[in-house]
Amino acid sequence: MPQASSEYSDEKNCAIGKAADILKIFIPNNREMGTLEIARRLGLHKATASRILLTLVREDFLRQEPDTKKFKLGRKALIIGRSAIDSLNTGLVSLSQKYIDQLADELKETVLLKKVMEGKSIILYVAREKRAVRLIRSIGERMPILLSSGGRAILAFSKEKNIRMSEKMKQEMKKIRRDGYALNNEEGSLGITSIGVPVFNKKGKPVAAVVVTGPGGRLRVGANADIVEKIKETARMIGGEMTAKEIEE
Amino acid sequence: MAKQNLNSIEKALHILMAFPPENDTMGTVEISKKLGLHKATASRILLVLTQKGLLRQDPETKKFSLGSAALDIGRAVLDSISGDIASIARYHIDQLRDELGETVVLEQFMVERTVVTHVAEGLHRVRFARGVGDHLPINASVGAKAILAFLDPEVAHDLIFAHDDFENLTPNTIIDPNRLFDQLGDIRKKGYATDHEETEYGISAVGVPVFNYEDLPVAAVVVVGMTEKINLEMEIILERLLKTARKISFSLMQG
Repeated sequence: MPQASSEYSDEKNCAIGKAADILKIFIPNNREMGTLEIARRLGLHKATASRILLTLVREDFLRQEPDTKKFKLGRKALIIGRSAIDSLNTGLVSLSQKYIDQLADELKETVLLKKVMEGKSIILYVAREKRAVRLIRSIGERMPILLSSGGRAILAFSKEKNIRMSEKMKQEMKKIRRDGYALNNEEGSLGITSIGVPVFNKKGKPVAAVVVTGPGGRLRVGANADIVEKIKETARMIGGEMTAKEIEE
Repeated sequence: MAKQNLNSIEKALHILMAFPPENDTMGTVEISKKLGLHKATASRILLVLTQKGLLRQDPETKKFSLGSAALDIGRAVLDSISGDIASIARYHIDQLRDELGETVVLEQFMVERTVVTHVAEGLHRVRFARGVGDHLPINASVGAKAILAFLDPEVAHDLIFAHDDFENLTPNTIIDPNRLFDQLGDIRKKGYATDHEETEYGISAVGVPVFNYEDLPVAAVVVVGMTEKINLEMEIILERLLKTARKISFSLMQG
């Protein structure tokens, strides 16, 4: 590690870190908080918190409600947040939409496009059919990679070797590679089954997954082998169009 | 304001604002030029912002773009406009509190911990340490136990054993990861988790998971109360609690 220069001491880095922690304290629902509460939650002196809050308000990252004097995320926090969300909407997503929507129409189930980002599986797109308010919000939602069938489908075909796995999960990965899809039907309690199929780019790298979720009774693979074939076909068409348009992601 | 008068936080915020609207990927040199900062200064700020998740660095190209914390901040703002899990669950939770008279809490799963996002205070005078915005460690939160039990066991195992810093809150707190993991099978079988004075003396709790449209446990509804009261009313609490959790799961699934 390089030595901290005199111009940039640890103290200053620390101030930036504290400012970042203050912004993050409003996750997950941007609840209003006062200076004291913020200071207490982060273990900061009230004076330190006040000073940083002042900067964050002046820079428009937070706003202070005139009546309550409490803070919330502000205009620029929304700008960087929107930008991070919008940047999930890549070339891959725009070309996938029609295929995902089509599959949702056909199956009458929830259909998602997922990828792996920073070691988590993340939702990139939810079929239009199901995109009432609640599901739109799920774009950008992340889960541990091994939890979702989409994450498993991508991982099984990926060259990523850094994920620690039990013998059982390694067997599961082999099965996914053999069958070409990942199945999740033993978790949860609502009886939802989800099936994930990887999307490959021109180089054969699994860059995303098409995931169908719905009540287990309807999605039982044995009862309806067709479903898996339809998902695979959708994933192939997306991969094909990626290749044609030279999109790699 | 002249550049040299910017304090370090302002510089950091200006760096963040260099990425929208396209969330461009930029290297250290490009960023420092764009903002008129010394390269060393820029790289230190970039390091802190990356550690905090506001930026991420591509491992191959070493370039930066807005990271997962920026994404979560955006989702938090949008959720606060359009309503999130807490606002969907609020009605059902308040109703359960009215039925039971006990405090009912919503805990949302944030992978490494849970966050309390709604509290319906009980109808008696006893107040609990838990409040909206509290972050609870996964070993000392009945909601987290209920959620972990319904995750893929392997994922739950990894999440639990990633910690070696479980703290004792009472003599009943589970600090041994093995013991915590061993409880999960039983919780899953029963469908609910219990906390017998593991977080506070005299206080017990019952928690049940809430599932999203992928059947993944994303939150838990928790009833908290005086130990004697909870023990005495366990049967009715469970019946109502399970029903409430099902209603919330159903609401979350409605497209």
